[in-house]
Amino acid sequence: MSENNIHHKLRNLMNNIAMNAELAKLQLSQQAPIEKILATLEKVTEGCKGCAEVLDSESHNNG
Amino acid sequence: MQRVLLVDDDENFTSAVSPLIENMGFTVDVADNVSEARSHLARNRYHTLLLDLMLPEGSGFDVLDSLALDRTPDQIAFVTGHSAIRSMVDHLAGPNMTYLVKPIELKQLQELLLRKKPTAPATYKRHFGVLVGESPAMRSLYDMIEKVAQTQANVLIQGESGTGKELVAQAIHNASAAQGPLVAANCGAISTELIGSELFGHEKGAFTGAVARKPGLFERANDGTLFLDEVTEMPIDQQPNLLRVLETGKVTRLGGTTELEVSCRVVSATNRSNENIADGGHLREDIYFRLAVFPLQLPPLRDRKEDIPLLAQSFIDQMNEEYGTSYTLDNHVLDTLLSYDWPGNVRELRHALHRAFILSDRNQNTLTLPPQLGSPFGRSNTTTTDIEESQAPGSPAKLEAGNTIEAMEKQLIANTLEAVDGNKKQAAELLGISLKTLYNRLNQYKQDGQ
Repeated sequence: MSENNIHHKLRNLMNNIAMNAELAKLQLSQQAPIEKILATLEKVTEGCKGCAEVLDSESHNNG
Repeated sequence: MQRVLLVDDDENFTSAVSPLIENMGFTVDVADNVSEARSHLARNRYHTLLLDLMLPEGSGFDVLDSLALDRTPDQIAFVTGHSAIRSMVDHLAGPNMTYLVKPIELKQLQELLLRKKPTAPATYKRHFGVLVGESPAMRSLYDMIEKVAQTQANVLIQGESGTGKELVAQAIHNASAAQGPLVAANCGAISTELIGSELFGHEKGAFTGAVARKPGLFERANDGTLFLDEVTEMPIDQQPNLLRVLETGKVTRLGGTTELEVSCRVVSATNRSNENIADGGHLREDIYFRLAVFPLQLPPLRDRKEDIPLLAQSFIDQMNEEYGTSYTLDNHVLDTLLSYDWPGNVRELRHALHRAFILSDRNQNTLTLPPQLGSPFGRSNTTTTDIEESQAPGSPAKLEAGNTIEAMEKQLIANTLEAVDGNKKQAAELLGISLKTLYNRLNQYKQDGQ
C-alpha cells in the first residue's frame, strides 16, 4: 500500500471514530436508549481496530 | 427546514454524521453514489452539499458536472481523506466552495452549516442616472417621468421634504431631449425684492446696484429645464409676472423694453399638499394650472421601505468612494434602518448614514449606527408618554383641531431650535429643510411680529 493510500485509509477510519464519538456524546445528552449508545460506541471500537490493522500490515510489509 | 445532502459511500460515517447534522436543525439526505446524488439534486434545493471525492461510480466532480444552475446548493464542501484536495479546491475557487479534511471535527461542521450567510450587497440601478429604488411606487414614478419627458409639459412635483424632488426634476431633464441646461432655483430662498430680477433678469441700471445686464433664470434655462423649488413660497404679488411668461413664452428683463422668446420646461416643486396650496392661498389658481400640467406625487420613504437597502447601499458606496473606505451594511444595521419611519425621508436616511460613517471605527468595515435614530419628527421613537406630554395643558400649539399647520410648523421650529441650543444649521438638518428655508421662516415670523 502506498503511503498516500495508508494516510487516506487512516484518515477515513479516524473520521469514523471522531464522528461516532460525537454521536455517542449527543445520544448520551439526549438520554437515548442504551442499546443505541452501545452500538455507536461499538463503531468507535471498530474504527480503532481498523487503524491498528492498517498500522500492523504496514509494519509487517516494512519489516 | 433547510436540507443537507451528504454524498459518501462510507456507511459508518454517514450513519454517524446524519443525526449530528439533523441535531443542528437540518433535514439530511444521503447518497452513496453519483447517480443517487444527481437524483437528489434534481429533486431538491440544498443549503449544503457535503461531497466525498471518491465515489463508487466516479468522483464528486461528476456530481457537480450535472448540476443545474437553479439547483446549485448555497455551499459545497468536499469531505476527503486526501490532504492534496486543498490545492484542488483552492483552484476551483468560488466563495461558496470549501473542503473538510478527515478526520473532521464537529465544530468544523457547525461552523460550516450554522454560519450566517453574508448578505450580498444590494445592487441598485440609477434610473435616469439619478433615482434609486425598485418599489412599485418608484416604478410607477419612472413610467410617468418617461412619458412626460417626451413632451414639453410643465411638471409640478409634490412630496414631503426630503423625498428627492430636485432629483426627480433632474431625472425629467435627463430623460428629455432638452438641448439646454437644467437651471435650478429655490423660490423660498430668494428675497422678495430680488425674485423678479432673478427670474426675468435685468438691464444695466434697472435699479440701484444693477451695475451690469444680467440674464434671468428663464433665459439661462432656454431650450432646457427650469426647476423652481418651493414654488409655493414665491411672493403672491410676483406670481402674475411668472404667469405671463408661462403663458406667452416671452420674458422682459427688468428695466428692459425688448421681449425675449424663451423656451423651457418649468418643473416646479412644493412640499405643501393640494389642500394646503388651495386653502392657504400660497399659489394663484391660474398659475397652479400652468405649472401643474402634469402633477407628480413623490412617495414618502416610509411607504417604500423596500427601497431602504438599495438607497443605503448607494449612499455607502458614494461615501466609500469619496473617503477610500470599504464599509458594509450588515443585517443588524439594515434591520434598524427598516424599523424607523424616516419622517425626513431619503434626506434623513442619507444624513443618518453619513453620521454613522463618521462615527464608525475605521479599523472595522462594518458601519455602526448611533444607539438611536431620531429627529423631532420620528414616530418610531415616540412613545405614548411623549404624545401625552406634548398635549399636556399649557403646551403651546397642541395637536388638536383648530390649530393651523403654520402654527404647528412655527412651534416645531421653535422646539427644534431649543433642542439644539439655537444652532440653525443643525435645526435645519433635523427638520429636513434647507438652511435658507429655515431663515426664511424665521424672517417671516419676525415680519409677522410674532
